[in-house]
Amino acid sequence: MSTVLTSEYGVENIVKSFGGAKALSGVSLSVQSGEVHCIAGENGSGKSTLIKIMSGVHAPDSGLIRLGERTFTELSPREAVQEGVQVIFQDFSLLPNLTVAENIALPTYILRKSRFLSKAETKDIAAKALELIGVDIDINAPVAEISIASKQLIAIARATNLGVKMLFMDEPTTALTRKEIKRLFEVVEQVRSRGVATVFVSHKIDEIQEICNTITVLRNGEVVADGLMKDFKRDAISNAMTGINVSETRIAPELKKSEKKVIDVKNLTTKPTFSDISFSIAPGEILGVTGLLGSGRTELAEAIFGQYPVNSGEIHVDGKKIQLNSSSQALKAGIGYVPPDRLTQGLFLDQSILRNLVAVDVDQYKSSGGRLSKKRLAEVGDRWIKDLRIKTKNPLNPVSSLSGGNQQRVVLAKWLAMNPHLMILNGPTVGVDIGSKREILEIIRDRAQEGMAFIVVSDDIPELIQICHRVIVIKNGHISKEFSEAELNEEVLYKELS
Amino acid sequence: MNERFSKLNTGLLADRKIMQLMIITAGIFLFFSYTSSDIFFTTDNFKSMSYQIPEIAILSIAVMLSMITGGIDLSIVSISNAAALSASWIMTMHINKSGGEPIHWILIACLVGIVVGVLCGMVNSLLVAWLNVTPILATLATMTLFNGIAIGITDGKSVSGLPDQFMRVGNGTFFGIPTPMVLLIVIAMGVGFLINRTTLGLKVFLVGTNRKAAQYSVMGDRKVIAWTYLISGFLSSLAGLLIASRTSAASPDFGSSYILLAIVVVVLGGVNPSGGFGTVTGVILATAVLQMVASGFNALRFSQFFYLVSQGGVLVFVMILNVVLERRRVRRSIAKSLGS
Repeated sequence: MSTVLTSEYGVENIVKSFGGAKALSGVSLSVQSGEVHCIAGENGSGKSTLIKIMSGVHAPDSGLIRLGERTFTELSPREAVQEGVQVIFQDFSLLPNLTVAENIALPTYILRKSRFLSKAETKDIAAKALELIGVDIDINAPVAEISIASKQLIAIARATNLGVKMLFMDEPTTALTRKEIKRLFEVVEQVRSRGVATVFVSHKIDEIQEICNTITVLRNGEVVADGLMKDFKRDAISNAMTGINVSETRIAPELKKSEKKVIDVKNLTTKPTFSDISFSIAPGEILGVTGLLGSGRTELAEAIFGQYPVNSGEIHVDGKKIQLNSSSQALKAGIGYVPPDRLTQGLFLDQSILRNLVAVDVDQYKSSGGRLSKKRLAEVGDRWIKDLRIKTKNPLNPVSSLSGGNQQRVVLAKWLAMNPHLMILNGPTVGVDIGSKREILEIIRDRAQEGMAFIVVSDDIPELIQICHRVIVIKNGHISKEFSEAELNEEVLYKELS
Repeated sequence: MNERFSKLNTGLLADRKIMQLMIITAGIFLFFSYTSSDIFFTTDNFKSMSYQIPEIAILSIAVMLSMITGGIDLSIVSISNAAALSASWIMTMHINKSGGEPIHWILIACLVGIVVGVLCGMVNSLLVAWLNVTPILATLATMTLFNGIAIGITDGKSVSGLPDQFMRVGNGTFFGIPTPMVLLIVIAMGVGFLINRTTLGLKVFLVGTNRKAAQYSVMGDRKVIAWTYLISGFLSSLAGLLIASRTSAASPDFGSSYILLAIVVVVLGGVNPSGGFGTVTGVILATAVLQMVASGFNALRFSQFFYLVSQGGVLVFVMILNVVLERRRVRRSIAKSLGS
């Protein structure tokens, strides 16, 4: 490990455990002012814990935090801000009901402990901050009405305004087009040239290579590689991140020719979110749907399942037209839907694994007298825990006790239990470890082989290429392009997206 | 280590709460029996307690149902009074005039009372489940509404002089057990069956834990919530009839403090105020605890105001305890999910 002793910002030998679990075991990191450093790592590698320690959210069990001349054994959030540590999270933590100017200026007032606000000064502070990073945005616009890319720039302006010395950006490019990323990088370059130690948290290797000078790769709470960016090859980064040579070979099963259609969507429209969406899926086919955040991909998926309003269009399932805007009709027709956020939309966190497994179509577990058959519940629970290899000792444990990958399997199982003809999966492997990801994709493959049709909505391009027979790209609510099995490769898909 | 955490976190957590309550109940019982053996530890006192417990327990069970879905029903006492008034009104009207067989009029009157309760429950269902009005506001409004209607119809007077046969229910015994107690046992078993052994019951817990996830699981969350307020109205009407029968009167402003008491009972009984958890056993034990404290303070000649203070104090204490336990639980869950 090449520890540079003159480094100005970073941590030394940080250990942090939650309960019995080590999230970070002896991590060191050093970032010079005026450089862009990358922290790369899979989900669960300890990236977010590290950010939280440096921004004062968590206290480390041991180790040192170095911020310029000063060292700390732990920080409070206020101290972190005072020492110039700023984090831009993926949701930017902006207040949508306030204007751009107010969003930029408010933290400044808070830091100064002012009790009164002046409108003129607010605008002044904001205008200066935006000018400093060379960005031109209408400061009187409500934040709710501006684009995601602009929100990001506002968050940067806000940070620089607070005298930022170390700036963390957590997955900043997830929702941006290629053009917007370019602009973001120009701003990052501005910020860097002012002597800010900038930390870029990402796993998109192309972007990391473009913008970062140095890199630290984390895996399972340890630093597995670090050094100058130019010394790293693309494969070296990805191998360091995963620790194994993960084969991203296609696992999609061979598609049998079939004239039948499980679902036929015609001209589905809800303006302005999406319009004229038409496609059909054959039995056993896995259709990928991708697009940037805000492209309408999620709304489209939810519309098919009756959770997002549809203005016009038709959906036929197994040749029969189904009533739109009704989830219960979609369910009856045999459509299942795994929503993108498993914690708030997919799971009943405090309830048992068993109760979560039977939450779809509960009435099927009724015995003749209308009673809930405990025996059938237990059978169903045992079956799915075994089938999907959910790691638990007791199905009566709360589902919150499971890891991300196992929780996702519970959500999957809950829908597979009703034996759908078409399963819509929205972000099926978000936030699960790489091993679980592979297993979840294999579950999809196995069901497809049995004839179940799938729509996989995802922004994880390699994953789509691995599992899908066809991918459609949504742009501004329209299908911008459809890729057949033969045409699928990362390069063209990324190009189409941006 | 993990094994022990998970045991605490599961269904056994609820059982553990029940265990705690049982110990508290026993402790309070022993305390008052020892300090006031001449007044508290007497057959008379136990008898009087067993006539008072059922009313409040039934009302509390009603509150519990809406609370498990994450809501609350503040209109229970108004509903019970409205049901009691309409039943009493029919009884007094017909019994004094005809003088004949009053028994079928008693049955009709009770039936009307129950219908009134269910109708009131339906109003709540409509507001909360279909119009998405916040439960606390919706039922606060209907509480005033039902109460106002009752006062308007009766001119604010109470109805008294109910027939003897009717009074026998509230004051009599059934195979040696006070009739209200028998009624409570039947209701407790019925609601217990409903929430633990039926699909509706399972849905009630799931909707209360995460309504969004319930919507995505397509379990008809509105219908589930509607049912709880309807049943709450039904149970309130039974409590109202019981009160009328025990006191031989019905009045629009009877038991206005019962709503607060019922909430104290429910929270003390381990029902999660934000939804998802609750047991009938816990609610009944909590009713017993509070009733014993009330009788005990009475026996020790403490003032009424001291009792109110202790009631409010208990509520605050349990809330704080819940928050502390919840924080610990969340921390453990996070640690575990990172660990595996």
